[in-house]
Amino acid sequence: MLELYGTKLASRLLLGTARYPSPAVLTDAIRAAHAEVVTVSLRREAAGERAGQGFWSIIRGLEVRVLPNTAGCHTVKEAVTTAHMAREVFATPWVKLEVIGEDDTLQPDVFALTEAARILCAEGFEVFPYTTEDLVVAERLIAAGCRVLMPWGAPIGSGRGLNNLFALTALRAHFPEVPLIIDAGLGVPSHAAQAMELGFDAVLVNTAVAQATDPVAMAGAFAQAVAAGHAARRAGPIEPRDFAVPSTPVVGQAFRG
Amino acid sequence: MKLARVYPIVDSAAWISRLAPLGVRLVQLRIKERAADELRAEVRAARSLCRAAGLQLVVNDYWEIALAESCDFVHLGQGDLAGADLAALRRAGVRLGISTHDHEELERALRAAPDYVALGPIYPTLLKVMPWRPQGLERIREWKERLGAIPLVAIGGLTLERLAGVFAAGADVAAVVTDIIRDRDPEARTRGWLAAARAA
Repeated sequence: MLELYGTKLASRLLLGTARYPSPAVLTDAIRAAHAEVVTVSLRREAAGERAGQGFWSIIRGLEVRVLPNTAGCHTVKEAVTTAHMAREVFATPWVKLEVIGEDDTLQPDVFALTEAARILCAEGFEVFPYTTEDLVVAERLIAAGCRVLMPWGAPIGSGRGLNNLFALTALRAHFPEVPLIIDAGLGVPSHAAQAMELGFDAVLVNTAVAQATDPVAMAGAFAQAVAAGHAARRAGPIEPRDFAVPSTPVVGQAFRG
Repeated sequence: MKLARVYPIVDSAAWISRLAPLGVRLVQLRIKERAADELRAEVRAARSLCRAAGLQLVVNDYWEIALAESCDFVHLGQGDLAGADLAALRRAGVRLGISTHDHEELERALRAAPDYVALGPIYPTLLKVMPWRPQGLERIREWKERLGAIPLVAIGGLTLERLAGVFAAGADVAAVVTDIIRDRDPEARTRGWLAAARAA
């Protein structure tokens, strides 16, 4: 079982709730993904068209655990205020902490992130920081009180998969006991399977599902990939080699001299 | 009573979650034509957000919901004033803001002992077809003189560029709708308003 801040979860696929064609599709996608945790942006949902749909009421009606995020925040103060509001609205100490430092890549501002994490952890929040694959930043976040990390695979919404395999592998090796969730940038289920095969504890997907032609089918495909990747990791994959190794013994073959 | 000088008016709780982190401290929720249960849920969400982020929440029109949800303020137009149970609002500590457009309305508003008085439209407004000509800055001076310590909210057609003039004329608070929420970058525009109000 996956354990996040003392909460045990059977599903290792977390789903974001933004950018779906309709609330009905979102609901079906969450079911198809067997997701037990969904992220919700307090601020992203503010844009005009969705305002009238009682979006938060829909989310609260689903039987899933809500992980509110601070998407769209650019400063420590904004992120901390948004976290306070999220705790009030969703009555949860969980917060996925995002502090954006660069608008083209939506790259985390890791300096503001660690500062905001320190403040929120001290206030009793259970912080899930959206971070890069940087080891030193990860150390600082853990020192700030974070007990889960959410490194990116690639920039949010880019669908590029795991951009920096070397660093992500190193991150996994350095923090064997800390739940690590690949947060952003996955495009197709094979990316999710790869993350799980590398030993990550879970993945979070949003755009890859929400913007697929058939989001519900894609949610199901991701669920299968996460399960397969996790099972493969537990089964112990072989090491890659530079040369071929025959899979059938040559000894005893009839026509060898 | 001291009110924040920038007073955005929005139509959803979600907008509040977007503006509050920027430093907005006073906001009005103005919703038109929604089912009663949705309305109540929206006000409740807005109130929760405002409480968590330290904003004063003003609910437009729906004084009974504002009362039931213990909101900070209710804003009433002249037409709604007669039907509202002002005594019940007072007892519950819900404060009162009232729209005015002419002297008669101003006197009627003052008899209700309001916590603020709004004057509008200061400039031509995009949102409402109004029977009143734009009031202009001179009326702000006149209204402020009559109001004394009661905060004066200027509303209608305000933009960032017009803000300094409105404050200079005596408005305590500037209400804003389209100049923020219809801007291409509402966050940046809001920051501009807050900075201009600090400088005024």
